[in-house]
Amino acid sequence: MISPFSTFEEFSEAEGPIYTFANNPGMITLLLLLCAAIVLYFLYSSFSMKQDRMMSPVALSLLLIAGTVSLLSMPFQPTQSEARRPQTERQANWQPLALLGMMGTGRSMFDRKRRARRVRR
Amino acid sequence: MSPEAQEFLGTFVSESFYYWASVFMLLIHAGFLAYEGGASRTKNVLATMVKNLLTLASVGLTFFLFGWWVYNAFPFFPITGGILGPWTNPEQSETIATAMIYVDGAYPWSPALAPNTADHITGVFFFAFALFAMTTASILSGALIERVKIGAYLVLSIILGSFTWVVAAAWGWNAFGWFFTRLGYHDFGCSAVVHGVSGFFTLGVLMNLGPRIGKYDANGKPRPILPHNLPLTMVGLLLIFVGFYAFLAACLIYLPGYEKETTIYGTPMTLASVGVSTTLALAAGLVGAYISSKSDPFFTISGGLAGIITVGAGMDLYHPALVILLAFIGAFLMPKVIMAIERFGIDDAVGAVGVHGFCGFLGACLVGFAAAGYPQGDGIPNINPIGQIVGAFDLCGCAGLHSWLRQQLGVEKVQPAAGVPRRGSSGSRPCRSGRRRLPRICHPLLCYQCDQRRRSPSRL
Repeated sequence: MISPFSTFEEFSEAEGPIYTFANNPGMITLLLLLCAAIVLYFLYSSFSMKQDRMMSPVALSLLLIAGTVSLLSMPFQPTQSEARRPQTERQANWQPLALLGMMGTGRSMFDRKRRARRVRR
Repeated sequence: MSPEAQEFLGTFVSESFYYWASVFMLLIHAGFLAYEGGASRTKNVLATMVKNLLTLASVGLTFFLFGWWVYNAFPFFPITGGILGPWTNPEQSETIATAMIYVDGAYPWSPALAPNTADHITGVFFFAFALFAMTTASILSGALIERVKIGAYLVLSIILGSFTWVVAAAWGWNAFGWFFTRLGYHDFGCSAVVHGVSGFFTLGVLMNLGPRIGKYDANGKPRPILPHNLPLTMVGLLLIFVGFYAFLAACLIYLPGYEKETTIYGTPMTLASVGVSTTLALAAGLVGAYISSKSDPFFTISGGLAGIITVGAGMDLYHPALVILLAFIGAFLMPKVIMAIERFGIDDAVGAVGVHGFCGFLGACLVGFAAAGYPQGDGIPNINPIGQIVGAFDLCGCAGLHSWLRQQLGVEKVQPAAGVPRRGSSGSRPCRSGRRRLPRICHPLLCYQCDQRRRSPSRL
């Protein structure tokens, strides 16, 4: 039954869930799975629509494999205590990349200023 | 705190709740104004916005003069009394005697609407209903942009905002309404009562009005008339979303002395569920329209509204997962409906028929299936599919048919325009708005374009 109540007295004096399928958790689970499917399809279609064609099967397979590997690797990830350890060496490795990014940003800003000056002239 | 102070606090909470909910409902109107302004072309922006603004005046004043009375006097029409009334004869039954108190408080000369320390509630309910009425008429306004005559629009806005939807509300959104008491009709968020009625009323007007010049090519194929300012349209719809939270909150009934929140039908509900369901319906609606329209920005933003309207009727009962599913379905179908309407030669500039008419009708029908069996009171039928479908069909069908017929019969010919060919025996004329296919006529008193062409053919 969709309604968990059979009489108006029960319904009007209810203290607790009054929503549809309140007495049918199986149905709620099914609805939630459908909602999850909608969300996943939305994310998937947002990629395929922007390209104006379906995502290639190879790319989709790679994406699925990457996702599965990521999920399966979860038990082998470092524990919280391990993650908190200082990792100065690894951070240092990223510094050249960060510098490169800053240089790129500075370069684009410099170009913009120069272009603006050119326009004013 | 003294018992008197406690009692007054209850009154003040109730009064304040409806007052502020109604204030925020005005955002719907601001949203429609921006939405229409953005959707029109640059040359028509000011006229479009002024037309929408004047809805506040035309509906606000006439709702005070007779609309509020219609809501309170028509719940029994035409079930009790003669066709011309009286429908609220207090001697007929105890229920009618109870309803008569509200009728007496709804006259423009009633002391309940003026400053009155004995009545804090009637005035604030009038305020909320007047905002509902303006919203209803505003839906019509958007669909008619860029070709309707301002005078004709004002007459139509009064008919829709202060009479047609009010009768629908009296029947289907009133504890005494015969749709509720006889059919078990349930429409918490006014899906059919406000949106369905205004959407189908708009369809009737559009069938008579005809399209904008240039909307259809010589073969009758629709051509896009792009909004001049899509960001303004988007902001407008976001304002409408904000207003909708208030609109749906104002559908809740909490009166002084109440121990719980109820719907207008007296069934229990919570305000929190309105917040949850509106948010999810908005999100799922955007997704549905985005996928269905292949990421068209105009349809996508309208999808949020379509989702909310689709679930509005049963929002007090639906589980959030059901809200998501139904809102998605409604919004997914909406762009298809709008495009189908366009192919039939009906130029609905903002998709009002699809978003409000179709989704409102669908939403009211869905309650009969998705919330079937909920009891609604002693002697009142449970929520059922037949009651919902018959109720929604009656409301939407009557609104559309009466809108279409009224103009076909020329009931609104307040002042016949000189030199304009008459309809009926003198023959319907082909539309001169650049369109060759259905519908073949446009109304001389409604269509600004044809009137301008008649006055100065060189201008168009």
